[in-house]
Amino acid sequence: MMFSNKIMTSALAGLLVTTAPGLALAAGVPTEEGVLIATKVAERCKDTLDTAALAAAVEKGTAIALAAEEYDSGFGDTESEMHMTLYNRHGESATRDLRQRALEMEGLDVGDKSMVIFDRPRDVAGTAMLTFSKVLEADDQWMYMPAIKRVKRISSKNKSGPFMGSEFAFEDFSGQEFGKYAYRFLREEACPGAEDLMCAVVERYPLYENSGYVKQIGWSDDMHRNYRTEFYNRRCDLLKILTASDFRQYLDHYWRAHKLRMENQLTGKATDLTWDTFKFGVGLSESDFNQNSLKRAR
Amino acid sequence: MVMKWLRTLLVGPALLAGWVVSTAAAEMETQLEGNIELETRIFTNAMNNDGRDDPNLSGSIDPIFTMLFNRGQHTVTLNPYFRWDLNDDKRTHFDIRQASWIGAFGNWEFRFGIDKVFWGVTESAHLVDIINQDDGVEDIDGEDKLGQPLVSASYWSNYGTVTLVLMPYFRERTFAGVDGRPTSPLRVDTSRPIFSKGNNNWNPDWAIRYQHAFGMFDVAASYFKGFSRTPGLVPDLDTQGAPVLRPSYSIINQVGVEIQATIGAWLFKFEGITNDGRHKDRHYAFASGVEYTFYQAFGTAADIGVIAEYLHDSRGPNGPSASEDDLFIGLRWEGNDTSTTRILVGAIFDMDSSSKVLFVEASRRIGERWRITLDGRFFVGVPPNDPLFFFRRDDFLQLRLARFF
Repeated sequence: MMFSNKIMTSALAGLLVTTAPGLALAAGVPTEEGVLIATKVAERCKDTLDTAALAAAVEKGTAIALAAEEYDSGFGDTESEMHMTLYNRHGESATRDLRQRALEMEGLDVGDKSMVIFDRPRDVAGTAMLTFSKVLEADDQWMYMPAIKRVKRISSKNKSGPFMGSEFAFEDFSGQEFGKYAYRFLREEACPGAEDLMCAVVERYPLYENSGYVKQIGWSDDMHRNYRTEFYNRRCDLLKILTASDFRQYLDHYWRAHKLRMENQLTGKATDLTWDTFKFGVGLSESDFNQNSLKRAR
Repeated sequence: MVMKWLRTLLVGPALLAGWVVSTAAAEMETQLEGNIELETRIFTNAMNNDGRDDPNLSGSIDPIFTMLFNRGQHTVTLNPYFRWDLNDDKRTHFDIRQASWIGAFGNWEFRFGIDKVFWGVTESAHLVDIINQDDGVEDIDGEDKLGQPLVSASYWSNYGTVTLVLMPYFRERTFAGVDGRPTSPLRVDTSRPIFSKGNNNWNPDWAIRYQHAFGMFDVAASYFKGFSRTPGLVPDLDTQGAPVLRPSYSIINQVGVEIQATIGAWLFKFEGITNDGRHKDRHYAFASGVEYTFYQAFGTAADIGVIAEYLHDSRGPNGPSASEDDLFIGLRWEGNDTSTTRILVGAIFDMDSSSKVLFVEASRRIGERWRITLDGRFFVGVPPNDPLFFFRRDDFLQLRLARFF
């Protein structure tokens, strides 16, 4: 998992989903298939491609992504409080407060469980979303509407739609698993925003057919911290740039960015996502992730 | 009588709260949320009995006070509700929507007090939903509920969730008064209800439900025994000799089934009930349909959902249900914008007559704390044997402005 674990994975679950790498998926997409996908995308986007070194680049990109996925596995459970600020192109802002709980599930074919609870704006306070992420199928997702005390199973197909009116798409939080992408190593260069560090620049291609992106390019250092991600829409335009900062380490191991900024290059809108608290090992279990606990979530 | 159960049900959670405070005082968190709302309704026709067509003005306050102990293991909630209405003294009313303790112990969950429980999957009818009584003065669409005194236990496992609910005290439906709208031409005399058993509200109603998600299928089955939440309306004379309708409640046995399949952008839904209502005349009813969502429709951020549901009731067009052979078509637009703008337009067509109900619901947030909502409902071509005939002149537009805190 490359851009994800450090940055987004850390983020919203329900939306966000990290899946422990299963053995079957650990190898990811076979190199030949990765080469094919990379070639197809390069043709579509009219990118230049070093065909002689392509297989090696795919292998190296995949290895970097897998190392990141493995480094971030075993986090157990987390609970965090987030604050979102949405800016329109005139600089006017709107705010969102939300909390997230996530439980890492063990097993090859089992995705993580997570819950997101909205606190602000106040008219949606108490609305909560429960997600059972799946590795290869669509996630299972339920929404709780507090005014009528109703739990509703909802479609999780809406990957590329905006999350709460922000510049983040649902898929920016979910679908970060290693197995959901093919990869290609591009180059090494100074990390954006941390020029004294070296970053691997890796391009990745969503395997999910309904993804809103044709490719993403990410910059990550040898601690698997992702400083920057570029998202290209299906017309190959640079749609959004994500910048991560304020990295903090937990349990002497897991790095989490505490500030993310997503800037839409086409509309000039931006969203800041900051974490007020981030707790590991809070003692969550499966009984905290069902419809009963969804209705209780405050 | 009312005071008695109020006292019982308020003192209970208070005592529990005290106990919880003493055991888990170290970790307590309090939250206050809710809204205060102003509402105006404009009716497009004069009223049946006195030709009045004044716009109505009303206001409500709906605060929810929550105490969480030990990271949400214990939750104590108090949600009083008050509405003031300019024209209808019946609609001016107070209710305790929730006054409950909820305890979570591993796979078990217990609830005690006044609470609200929703069951069901379809949008146009809530047949299976039976725990709470309709707060009929709020609106006639059955979406607003009175708080229900209950004790419940629920057990969750990987094979499903089983919930048992005991309801010692029955809440009667509220009806608009003579000056209220929408209303029936005859006053519903809620002071003289008819009970098929016991002649009072104390009856051990109970229900049990099993619910589970099998992959793409969400399934639930339930059984309820107790007073029917839907009253019969019996013509009678009041103490002054004026004709009135008296609500009549009988004990029913109801079995309910809910199924939803979620496949890509499709939702397939079914909910059905069978019960032996009044005079043991067993009947059944169901609502079933589909919902399909076009995400980011026409290249915008908005989603457009199309809903189609068929409603059936075995008692037919002369029965008490307005949805005995009806088709509901709805179109939902979700802006996914910063103001969370949404619009739902829909129509319910009676397949056996010219009767139609058209409605619109639209809302958006203003700033961070306000929400404005526009609702409209129009009855078209309702024949005299349709239960909606009562409301045929009660077409209205309603504007609501709420401030959330």
